[in-house]
Amino acid sequence: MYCIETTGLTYKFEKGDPILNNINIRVPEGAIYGFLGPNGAGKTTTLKLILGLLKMQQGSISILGKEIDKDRIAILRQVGSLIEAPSLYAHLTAKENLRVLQLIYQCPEARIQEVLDIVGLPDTGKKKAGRFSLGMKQRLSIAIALLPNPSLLILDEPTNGLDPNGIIEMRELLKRLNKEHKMTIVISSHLLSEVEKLVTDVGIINKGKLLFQGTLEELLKQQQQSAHSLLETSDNAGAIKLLTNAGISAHEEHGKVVMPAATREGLGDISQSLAQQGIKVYEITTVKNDLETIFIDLLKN
Amino acid sequence: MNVSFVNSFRSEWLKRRHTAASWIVIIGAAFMPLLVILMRLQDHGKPADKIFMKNIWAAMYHRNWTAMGMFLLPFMLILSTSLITNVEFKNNTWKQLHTTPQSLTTIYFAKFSVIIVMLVQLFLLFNIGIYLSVMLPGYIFSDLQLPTDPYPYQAYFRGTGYFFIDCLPVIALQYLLSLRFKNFIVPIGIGFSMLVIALLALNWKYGYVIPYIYTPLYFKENQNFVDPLMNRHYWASGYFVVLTVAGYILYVTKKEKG
Repeated sequence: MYCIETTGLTYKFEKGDPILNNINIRVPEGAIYGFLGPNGAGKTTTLKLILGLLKMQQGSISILGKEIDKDRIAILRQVGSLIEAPSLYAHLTAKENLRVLQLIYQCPEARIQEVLDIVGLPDTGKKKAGRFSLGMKQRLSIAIALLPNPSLLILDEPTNGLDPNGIIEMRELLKRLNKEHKMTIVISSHLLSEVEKLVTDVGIINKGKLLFQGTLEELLKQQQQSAHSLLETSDNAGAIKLLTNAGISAHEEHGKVVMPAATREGLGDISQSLAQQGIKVYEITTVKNDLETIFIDLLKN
Repeated sequence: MNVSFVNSFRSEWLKRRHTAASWIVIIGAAFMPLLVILMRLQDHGKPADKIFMKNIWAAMYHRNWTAMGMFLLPFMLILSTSLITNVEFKNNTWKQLHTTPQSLTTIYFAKFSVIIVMLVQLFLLFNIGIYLSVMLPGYIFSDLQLPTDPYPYQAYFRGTGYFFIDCLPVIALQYLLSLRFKNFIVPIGIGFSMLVIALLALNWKYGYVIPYIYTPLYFKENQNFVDPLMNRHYWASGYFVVLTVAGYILYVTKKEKG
């Protein structure tokens, strides 16, 4: 069963092109789903639609097996969220901020201290939230999202404003919540490197279109497939013909022959064969794409 | 009453803690009675004070409410309603509030109820203030007699009730405006402009069509400037219902909720 399932989600503001175009998101239950894309790709709009903050125009959204436009309140009872910048009452203390929401969620009062301990803000005393550092505000916002002990946690760029240590701590916290509390987590980010050590599933969005969706393993497989070798030779056309006859797909790009990545042994054999045909090999380079390069390539394409 | 509404109200009530709006209620309620007490202490023994002593409960009621109703009360209502509603815009918390498991109707009326309860709180404190403005000078100066008539709670309650009704259109329109505009200067600016127009229209025969005019009209109650056929409390109640419904429709149909 999918925790979040959107079908044909399309959204546009009054004037202009669609912000989202036929988005079909599938977040498996128990997953940590990295929702990735550059700024302005449509991540926040998608998350706002999922949470009912924007009126749906086209398509459907199902969360925890229920339709958002029919069972909004029942769904929101099981969802914790943090959208964009922290949403805190600056004139209230951390505990008062949580109390405001505890009254609505009707969870036990002891839960307030529990979530403060979880996010590492056990005692901020009478200090008002407005005087917190950005990192503390972010932690308190996550505490608010955790307050109803949700089945689904939606976090939009939660590491904004956190220092490297804070990012690592946040990562560990989210892993723990996912493992120990079986919480499904959707985390959006514009940096793959920031979430690749955390997520189990990935969705990549750009210009309102979902470019990739699948498990992290599938993305890694794509990484291996996209690794390639570049050959600089005295006769590229002859080299391509020879490689093609040997069953290796090859083409010319920027004056170099591009072929799938081969082992050291394989490259040695190719080099020898080319030399035997009178084709000089000036340079052989193997390019192994990392996840970030694939991410950027997907966005470029 | 619906349990979720009560919880929502308690949550909204908590948000008003430490805000300027909550201070306006206390300072606003204390301001006129304090001024009256100081004036009475200063005028102690003068002929003006002796005139007041003849029917001190009615005199003090009139003295406190005239200045309050004319300008201070609508001024405070404009400020406190706009400030209390702006808390969500100022803190970027609309999106948080709208992802809580409660209906938009509950949110709208819980917030509105907080403003109305704050008005009740203001009136309660103000009446205590009027009571003190009658009694305190008598305790301070032994030659100032304390009132012999009993506290006219029925007349005070009725009068306060009428003022309460007269305030409702101001609250409803300020609430509507404050939910629409992120910049709180806009609703406050519109509110003050409406108040100035209302004060300028006090002598106009049809001034009663202006929703901000009803508390200042108390000042003109016994004069012939106002159309004698109109009942300002009915007009105020009508405006309140219409503006509350309009505000609700505009709020629930807003496309972006955070």
